[in-house]
Formats: sequence, structure tokens, C-alpha cells
Amino acid sequence: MDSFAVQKQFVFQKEREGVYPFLLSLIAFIEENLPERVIKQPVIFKSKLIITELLTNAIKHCGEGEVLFELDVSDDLLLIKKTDTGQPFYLTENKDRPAMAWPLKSCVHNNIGIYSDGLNGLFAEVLSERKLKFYTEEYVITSEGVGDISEHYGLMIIAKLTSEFIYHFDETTGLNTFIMTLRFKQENHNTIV
Amino acid sequence: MILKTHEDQDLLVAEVQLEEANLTQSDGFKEEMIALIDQGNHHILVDFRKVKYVDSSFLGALVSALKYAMAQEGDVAVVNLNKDIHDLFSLIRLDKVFKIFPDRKSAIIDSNK
Repeated sequence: MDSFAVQKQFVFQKEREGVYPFLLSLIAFIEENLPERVIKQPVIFKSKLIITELLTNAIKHCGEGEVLFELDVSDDLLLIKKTDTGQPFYLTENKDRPAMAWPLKSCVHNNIGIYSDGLNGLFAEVLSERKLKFYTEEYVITSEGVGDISEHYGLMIIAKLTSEFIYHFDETTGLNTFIMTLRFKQENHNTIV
Repeated sequence: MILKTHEDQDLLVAEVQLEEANLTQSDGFKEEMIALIDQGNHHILVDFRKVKYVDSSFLGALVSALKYAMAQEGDVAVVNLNKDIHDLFSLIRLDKVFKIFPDRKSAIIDSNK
């Protein structure tokens, strides 16, 4: 099979009023470049939600510098990469563990809790001192659990939609990188996982 | 104002006057919802008919309003979600905590039970 790869970078200036036009420009690029065999609707749905949350995250946490988005569309997958020089990903204290600082020397190959409520849990596997891989869990809801429902869903949404969701922090350059992979399903060549 | 309200058979309908319900509007939305609950409107139906998309900040504000209403034995329900927004509620399982109605009529019938 011929490989199919296109790549484009976009700079987000963090002007709040420009969020939706910026989102649409990235979605248009994805839509134009998806392989013909892939059904567009589910990919576009997931991409919209992921990029929306990345833009929200950029406005909230990325400080003064610019935010770079990179899109890669190949025959098998869509890669969305966001890079900025804001504060590194916060690992503040939670009910399961104390606060943690980068680099994560003491817990490589461990799994850590990021946040959880009565419905969902967000966790990360510490792949290296500078790299996390996010994953989620779902819980059976109880009547007591409703009052405990989280008001923070950004990373949870991304983790639930992606085949793989990685965060990398490089303290020498100060670069934060989120890398999201949406793998196109192979069995019937017409949808995504 | 982010919300336009009117009463329909003892149910307060609050229609979101936004196409883009994101973090630029989430604090204001939360403040308006809390004010409505403080005015004694403990059962509110939030109408999303004009909304094209929501982000996690806006959903967080909606959850916050629900928790505030529940603390006063009230409730917040939602109506007229487009397919993408409905699918987002399902994805993060908010369909387990919010009553979701396809139209105002079914919400009013439910509130009269």
C-alpha cells in the first residue's frame, strides 16, 4: 500500500476571539487530507473535540509564548502535536499521591492518578522521567457519587478520544509537548478506533 | 446576558444565547445560573438550541450549577443538544447525571410527573 503523509504547522496566537476560526482552519486541513477510505465524520468529530480542548488548555496554561500545532495525516493515522513554553504539566497533590515535580525520577514505569470522580478516572503511566502516557477508567455511578462529579474534563476528553495520548516535558528547552494519535481502524478500512 | 429565560408551566427555561460555549463565557454562564438558583428557581432547563460547540470549561460550569442546585434539592436538565454535544455528554458520561431531553415539550411533560 502506498504511504500517504501530509504535514502542516499552525501557530496559535491565543487571542480568545480567534479560537473558533483557528479550530476550523485545522479541521479543514484534516478533512482535505484524510485518506479516501476513511469515513470522515468520526475523525472530524474527535479532532474538533481534541483541538478545542488543546486551545482551551493553551489559553489557560501556556503563558505568553506562542503555541505551535502540527498535524500529520498518514495512511494509518492522524497525529496532532501541540508544543508550547508555558508551565510544565501540573502534578499537584491529590487523594492518591503527594505533589510531584519534573523530572519524575522516582516513579518511572509506575502508574499515577491525575484526577478522578464518581464517573471517570484519569491516570498516567510514567514512561520516563520526562514522559507520561494518559489513560482513563470508568466507574459505576452511585447516588453519593453525583455530588463528587468533577468540573475538569479537558484531558479526560482527549484521553478518551485518542488511541495514544503522550505528554513530554524538556526542562533544557522548557518545551511542553502533547502528542495525540488517532489510529484509523484496519479491519474494514472505513472507520477509526 | 448569556441566558434568556422564561417560565413554561412552572419550569424555568434558560436558553444559552451563544454559538460558541467556551471558556471565554463559562464564568459568566456559571454566575448567571447561580443567580437564577438563588432567586428560587431550583429546577432549570438549559436550552442549547443555538450552541454549535461546548468546551470542557463550559461543561464544568454546567456541572457546578447542577451541584449547586442539587444542594438545594433542585435540578438542572438540558435540551436541544446537537449531535456533537450529545456525543460529548455521553463520552464523559455526563448523560448519567443530567436529564437530557430532545425537546422542550418532553421536558415539560417530565416535570409535571
